Amino acid sequence: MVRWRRVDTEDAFLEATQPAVDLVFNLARRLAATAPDAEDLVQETYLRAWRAWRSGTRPRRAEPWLATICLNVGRDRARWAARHPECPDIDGGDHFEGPSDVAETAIDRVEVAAALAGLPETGRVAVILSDVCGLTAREVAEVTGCPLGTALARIHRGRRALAERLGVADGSPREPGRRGESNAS
Amino acid sequence: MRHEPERLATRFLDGRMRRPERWRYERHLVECADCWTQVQQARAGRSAAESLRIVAPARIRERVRAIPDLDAGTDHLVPGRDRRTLVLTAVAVLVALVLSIVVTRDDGDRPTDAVAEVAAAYRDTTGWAVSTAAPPVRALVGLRWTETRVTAIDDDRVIGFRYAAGDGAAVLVVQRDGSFTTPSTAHPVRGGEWVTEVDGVTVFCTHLPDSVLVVGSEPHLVAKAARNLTHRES
Repeated sequence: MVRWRRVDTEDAFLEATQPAVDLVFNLARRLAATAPDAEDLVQETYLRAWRAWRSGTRPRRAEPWLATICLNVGRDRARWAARHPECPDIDGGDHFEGPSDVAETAIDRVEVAAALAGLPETGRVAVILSDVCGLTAREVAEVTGCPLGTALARIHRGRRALAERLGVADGSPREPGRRGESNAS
Repeated sequence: MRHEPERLATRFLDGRMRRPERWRYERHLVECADCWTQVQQARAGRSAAESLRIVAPARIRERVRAIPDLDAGTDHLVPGRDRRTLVLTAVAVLVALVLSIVVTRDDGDRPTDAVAEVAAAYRDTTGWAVSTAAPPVRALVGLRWTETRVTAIDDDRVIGFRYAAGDGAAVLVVQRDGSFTTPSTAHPVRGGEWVTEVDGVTVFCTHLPDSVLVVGSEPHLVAKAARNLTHRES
């Protein structure tokens, strides 16, 4: 009887959390210094989530819950890494092609990753959660523990700062914007 | 519409403007350099950040799927105990092992099968499932941890950590939920440790304090790895 209950719990956990693997991996990849560290961070995130699940935690949505865990673990590890510096692997390791639709110019991913890594933390984290991981602004606010308006401002300022660092923020012919513009994923 | 470039651009790009407001704002963008810059910069930054999205590789998904199966059991290997604690614990284990050897001496098949299966796994672990469990140490006697595998032996969960080098040298560190009973072919070493050989593979049993098997084809490397495991400090 105990064994069947555990199997049900495991199945429910995996069903709820596996769809967020890409999100957690993308977040981990931006928080960790190297690709292997990012993989460890993903594992640690899911391990902590599993233990919380086993203790009765049932989040309304898995994505912001897992992102919060990953962010907290990543920050702890970053503090440790700051005391033990290594050569950072900004965007090394395995690459797995995903959508690449930079609007204005073709920009090298390594350059983008380096520019993103150089942003102040609040803007960097907001842009990572919103644009790299695909969370809504409301979910970004939930994960970072701030009001929605603050999260929107951080996302906006982070995007602008990133564009300035990449030198892609110059003017182009003024046209009305895309209708229904939204960052919701 | 109050003129607050950042707030308006944020609401526009986040899709929070209703249609009439959005139309007015789009007409405003043609005339206002500040608002236009806000929108263009944010769009460019968003696109650049989105270009960093990647799909998680299959091995990540596999590791995630294995998390519930691997949670239990890996904290049996407790790293970083100090020497004094290890010595006192080893003494207690020695007494228990002597008693257990006396009690189980006649039961030759079960422990021999378990030790033989572990020895066979040193050469071929394809029958064991890949695991995401982290090893007690990432490097051992100059060998680096390469993979973790799990299986079940006599209803006990058994986990193996493989360490290897580029020149082919390798050891397998194996732990189970229960303990490895001393086989009749074992040679006592000290403090309850024993060593045996199965089909050319050396199997060394040490204690951390639970019994752990260190398995390899080079006896000196196996013994050295076992010593490192028992004497590493936090």
